[in-house]
Amino acid sequence: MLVDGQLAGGLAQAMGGALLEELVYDEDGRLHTGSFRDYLLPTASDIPPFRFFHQETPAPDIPGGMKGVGEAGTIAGVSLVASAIDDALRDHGVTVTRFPVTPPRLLAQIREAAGKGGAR
Amino acid sequence: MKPPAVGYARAGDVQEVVAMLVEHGTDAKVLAGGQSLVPMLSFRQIRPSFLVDINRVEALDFVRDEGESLLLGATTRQRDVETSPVAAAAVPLLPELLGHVGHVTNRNRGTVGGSLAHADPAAELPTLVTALGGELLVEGPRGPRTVAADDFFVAPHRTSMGFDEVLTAVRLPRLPAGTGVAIQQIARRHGDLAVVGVLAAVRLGPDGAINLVRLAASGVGPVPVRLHAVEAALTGVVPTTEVLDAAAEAVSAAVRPPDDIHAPASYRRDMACLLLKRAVGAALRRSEVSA
Repeated sequence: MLVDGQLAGGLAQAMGGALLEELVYDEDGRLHTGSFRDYLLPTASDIPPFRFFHQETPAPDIPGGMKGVGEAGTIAGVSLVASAIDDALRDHGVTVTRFPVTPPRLLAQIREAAGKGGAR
Repeated sequence: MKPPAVGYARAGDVQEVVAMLVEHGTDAKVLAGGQSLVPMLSFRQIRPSFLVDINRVEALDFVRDEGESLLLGATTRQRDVETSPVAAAAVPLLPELLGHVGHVTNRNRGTVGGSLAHADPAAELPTLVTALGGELLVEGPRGPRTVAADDFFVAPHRTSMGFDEVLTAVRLPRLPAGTGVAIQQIARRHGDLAVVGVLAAVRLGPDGAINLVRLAASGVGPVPVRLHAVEAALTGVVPTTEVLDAAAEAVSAAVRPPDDIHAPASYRRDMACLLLKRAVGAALRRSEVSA
């Protein structure tokens, strides 16, 4: 339960980084997303329910066999979202290379790929 | 951040509200549900010297069926309208539309008048009153007056009300039986203000042609935009896919969306065209052929 909670929190952070959270600076170096009104954190209603499956690998060389787990959701999560988008848009030849993946940015990428003849 | 020190008084009736606004002049602000004003104070985006609290003006808290229209008092909570059978019977879109306004906790406090007077060009209630061609009832030292929706919204967060005037109610015309109404919008997260939205009301005649259409878009200009040209193009026409495609194209010319950190203008324009098709399509599915 503790580990699942850690993973869920990490995944929520990953989804925020993949889809929402962005530090937007203008040409003069001023931050335009300096409050939580503009810097979009995922809220409870933006996070889907998770199901967890664990593969345990013992750590015999660590006293007590302890391992860190909190970042497991975060680190892989961002690229997992990107991989899922790449897979969904395979027919369009779109590869996500920049985060967060915002709707306007993704639409522009799809159109750019279509312009290059990447679309089916 | 915390709000700056500010004067405060609670008004008991509309006359008292107006008297306080006159006394404190252009630096006073009306406080209703506080769902926009209080965050703006905390961010110190605005620095009024005085707040006139109208939450206890009971005469402005009502949902009234006037037959031809629905009259909503300015301090009526959005959640009360959302759950009101009287409101839903007169303007069937209201529960769904208000479901897009923030979260339930915001709507428990937030008022109908507050959302309209705040005049955000992306907000749902301003878009609704614009689409329906409703009226805003305003009271000031020179007495009450009625303002058409098209004349009420002036710029982002600016209305044509004077500093000494207060919004008392909004009148939403009841659409003829059989009219289908739908709202479609895109927001970054659930509960956020829409990036862009379209509201459509459509009724079909017995010949299958559209005999009534009302359209408005949000988030595509300084105020909610009534799409008169697109309405004209759709009136009297059988809504085929080609007709809807052409109507969506016409939206592009009718809007001048802003650029900001959430979306470039071109994205807003493209999505307004797309949402028009979806909103008209959804409204058509909800409409019933009229005799």
